Amino acid sequence: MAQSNPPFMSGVPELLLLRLLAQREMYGYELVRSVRLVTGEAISLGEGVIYPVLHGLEKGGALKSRRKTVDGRTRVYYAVTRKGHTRLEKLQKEWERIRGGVSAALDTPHHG
Amino acid sequence: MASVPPSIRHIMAEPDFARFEELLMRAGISPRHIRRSVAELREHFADIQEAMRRQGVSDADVGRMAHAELGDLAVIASGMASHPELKCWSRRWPRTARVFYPLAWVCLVPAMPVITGVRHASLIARWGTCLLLSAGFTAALMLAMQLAIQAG
Repeated sequence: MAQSNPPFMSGVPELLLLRLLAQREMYGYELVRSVRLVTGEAISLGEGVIYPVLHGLEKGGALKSRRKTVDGRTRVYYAVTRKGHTRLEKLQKEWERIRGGVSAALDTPHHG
Repeated sequence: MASVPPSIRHIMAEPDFARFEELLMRAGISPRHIRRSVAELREHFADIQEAMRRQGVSDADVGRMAHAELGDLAVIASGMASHPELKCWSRRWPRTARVFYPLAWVCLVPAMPVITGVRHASLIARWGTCLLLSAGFTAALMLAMQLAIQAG
């Protein structure tokens, strides 16, 4: 199991969830598995912790949800809204900026 | 479940969602989000158990491992509590609520009979019809008696 990394996780769950949901609608369990898969288990969101983030994004208008019964199980599927796409673009740009900054700092040769 | 010895059934029991609900209520999370969170976590827990069984995890271990994988419900509840947008409006704006609720009650109390009347309109209509019919019958009876007295 991948270890959790709370200090660096601020804003990352939101970015990952929006990115994955921009591709197709998913329900909570599916999302947790997808995050593990696409990040090569480098990032493991707490199984239950995903729901407050999803509900928060939905409340903010970035996601929409619908109930769907599959094989007798009622699931809540989430999908990205137009506002969510805009938010995703913004978060991606922000992430690229931070990644660029950290990379530049790491690439700088040591002095002394 | 039937094949599982009673001694370990408690381990496989689902997480304490009643306690989870209580924690969320105390945190002021809106009832809609509470209901949905419980339903989603319950489904999630069942999904974890199903996946573990498919992987060949023994029944004895499924419950314990699924609990661990889902995570501590108190932590999840505190995660929800950290989202102010998930709280009911009276917890987000307590001062407004303290002014609004008494005012709303003052306005609502005189309107209660009207609201009740609208909600139970058919019952009141039936009752009113019966009352009118009985009044009509009594009036007719009294008129007949009066006419009989005058004729006599």
